[in-house]
Amino acid sequence: MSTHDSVISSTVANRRFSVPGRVAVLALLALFAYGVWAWSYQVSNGLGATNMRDIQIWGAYIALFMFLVGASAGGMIVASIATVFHIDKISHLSRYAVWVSLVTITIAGLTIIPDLGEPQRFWHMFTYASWTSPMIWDVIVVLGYGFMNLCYLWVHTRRDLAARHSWLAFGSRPATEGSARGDHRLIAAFAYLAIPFAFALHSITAFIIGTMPSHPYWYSTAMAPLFITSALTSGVALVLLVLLALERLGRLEVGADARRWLAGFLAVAILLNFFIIAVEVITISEGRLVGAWAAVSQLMIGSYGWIFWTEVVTGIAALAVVMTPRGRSSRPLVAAASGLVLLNVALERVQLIVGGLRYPNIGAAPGISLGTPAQLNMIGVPTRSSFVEVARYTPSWVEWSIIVGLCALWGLLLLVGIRFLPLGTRHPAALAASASPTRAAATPASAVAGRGLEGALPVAVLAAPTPSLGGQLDVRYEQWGALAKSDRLFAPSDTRSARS
Amino acid sequence: MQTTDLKSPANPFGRHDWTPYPKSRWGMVIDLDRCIGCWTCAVACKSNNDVPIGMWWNRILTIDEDPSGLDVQTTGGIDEPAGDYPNLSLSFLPVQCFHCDNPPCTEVCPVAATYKREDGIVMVDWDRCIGCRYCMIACPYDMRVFNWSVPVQVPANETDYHVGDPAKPPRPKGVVEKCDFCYQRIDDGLQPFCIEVCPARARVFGDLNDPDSDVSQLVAHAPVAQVRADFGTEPKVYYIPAGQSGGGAPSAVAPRFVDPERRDLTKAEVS
Repeated sequence: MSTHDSVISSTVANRRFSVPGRVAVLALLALFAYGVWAWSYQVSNGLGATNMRDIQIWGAYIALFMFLVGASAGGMIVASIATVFHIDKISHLSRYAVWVSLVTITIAGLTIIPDLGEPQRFWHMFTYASWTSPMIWDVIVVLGYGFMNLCYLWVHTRRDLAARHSWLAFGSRPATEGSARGDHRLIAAFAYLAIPFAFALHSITAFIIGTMPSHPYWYSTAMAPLFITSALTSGVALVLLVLLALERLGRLEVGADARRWLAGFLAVAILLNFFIIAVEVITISEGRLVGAWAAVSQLMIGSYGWIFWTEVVTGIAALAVVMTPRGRSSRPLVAAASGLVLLNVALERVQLIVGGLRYPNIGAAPGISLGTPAQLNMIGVPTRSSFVEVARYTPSWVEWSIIVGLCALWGLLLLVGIRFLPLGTRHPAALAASASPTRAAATPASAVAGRGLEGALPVAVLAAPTPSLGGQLDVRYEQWGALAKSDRLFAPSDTRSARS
Repeated sequence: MQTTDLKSPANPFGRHDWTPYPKSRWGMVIDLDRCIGCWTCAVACKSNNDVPIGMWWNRILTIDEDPSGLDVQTTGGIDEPAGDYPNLSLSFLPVQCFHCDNPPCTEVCPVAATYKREDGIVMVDWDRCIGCRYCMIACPYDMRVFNWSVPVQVPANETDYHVGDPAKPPRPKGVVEKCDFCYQRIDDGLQPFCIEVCPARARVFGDLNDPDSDVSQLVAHAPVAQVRADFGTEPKVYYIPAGQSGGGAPSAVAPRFVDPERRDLTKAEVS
């Protein structure tokens, strides 16, 4: 197994949550239960419990779905790109990134359920699938992407799971020198497969709205590129935010190099995303077709204008951090920029879904019937007609509650995985430290063995993400980089032989 | 006269795609010079089809008179005339599902719950619909309505009292519905209810595949227009724009149009 790949570090004997961890899990469980209760309220009362109506046909749920699908791209970026383009400085983050992706795409899939009027008929999607519908293709690609993430993660972690005697290893045996080469091939195959798959995922999600001539603001060839760029943006921002938080908590060592590389990637992604949005807005503004122009002018100066301008401001603020070497070298600043970017993309989704549905194509009085009775005051005089000409939408408390519940479930799954799965891999520098001075003269397996490789060094390194260690690690990293060059992707290695 | 048996051997799944007129292509022409904006069709439709409170399959929009066609982007209020006094005009546009020949809604439905029947009627299967509302997104005309809550009918539907057509199945909450050209009446050889009740006789219904039918004659000879046909949907509801017919149906079809015999579909010459 080549040095760039993972070596288990987190075979921590204590597989229970710490006290703050338990508090967090309980709080998330409570929020999730609240979300489930809100959903049961919605199921018994119908989607009328939301503020969606016949004119505002889709709302916060679909916006969240599209946001989460985009945000699940991080695993592909960090894990696949690290393998395909040999970006070794981020390879130790693969498992965490894939776990974040897996959890995010799972929640994205679940987000569709509360949006359905007849959720108990969800299985119709499989039994009566109609292949002309982009939605069916999206269901397939979301399930497929989730499954692929699961397989990818399993291939990455199964040796370590086997070493722990976990049933999740499904019969895999702990790493041996012979197995390492096969594992590498498999991981590389997944990495290459993940990239077209991710393109398909984000494009098909974009096609759900992008192939609708009924909504001129959506009907654009730029929609799929926009979803790709915003997926790159939010995906890497989400992974960065989670990883930097874990680093702050002492769970792993991201390292300055990986942070700088990911922040640089984020900068490019933000610029590309800005570019696509600008192209879209400029094209529509010059054309001034009735429906699309109405939506875009609404975007700039209308009552949804604040969404767009917040998007612009958060995007520029994040860019200011990730474009400057000084910003990239600061962990809190990069984390803050990632948070701003997530806000930016979430608002973009809201603006897309809500803004795109604002104006109907047939805009004549009295407009569209809302689908729910007119609101009457105490003496029976209507205070609000059941007809509207222009959509006005803010999510109801039920929608907010279900979204909070889904986010709590996201956090819960994330924490459980981080606690119980062998996601931790050694930082390249730590690996180099254990293998130095030269690989050829690496310490005999028996010397490193004892309690296995993890006994040699990494727990101490990972448990102490002190700033002072950062510089030291960077120096060692150079050593390691030289070693890595001599040991290419598929070369077998003896670093894991200690485990056999 | 045949009636629809929802669970007949020909239709074992209860989908209402059986039709006694498989070679027909039902369509409608609405004369906007005759329409007086009284909402009789809309209310009768609600009654006949048991449409819940807050939902309308038929709506009457107030539009500016536009000799060039159908102006569907107006800023005035309901029943508000266009122009400056004394040069005022008031026109109405009754809208419902256009039963497009090329319906975008059936294409996007992930479970094929909405489908086009052999005779061209676009239907919704309330037993299959999952309530994702994608068809409502795809419809460029916003003609579909959704059961956001448990359907409420006034007067309430009790076991011994049922509003409207008994053949119309009850719908659960969380499914999409829309005008279905009163398919159960058509299958029974009757015209859709909005045709029957229109006090101004602004609506004409018939078989577009039959060149002698009233609708075919009007589509062929009257200055008909479709609403936003630029979406490529090929709507089967045509309009004679206001100011085009002079307030009366073209003479070629007027006598037959009022002939009660012609209003009985069972006597239509359907091959």
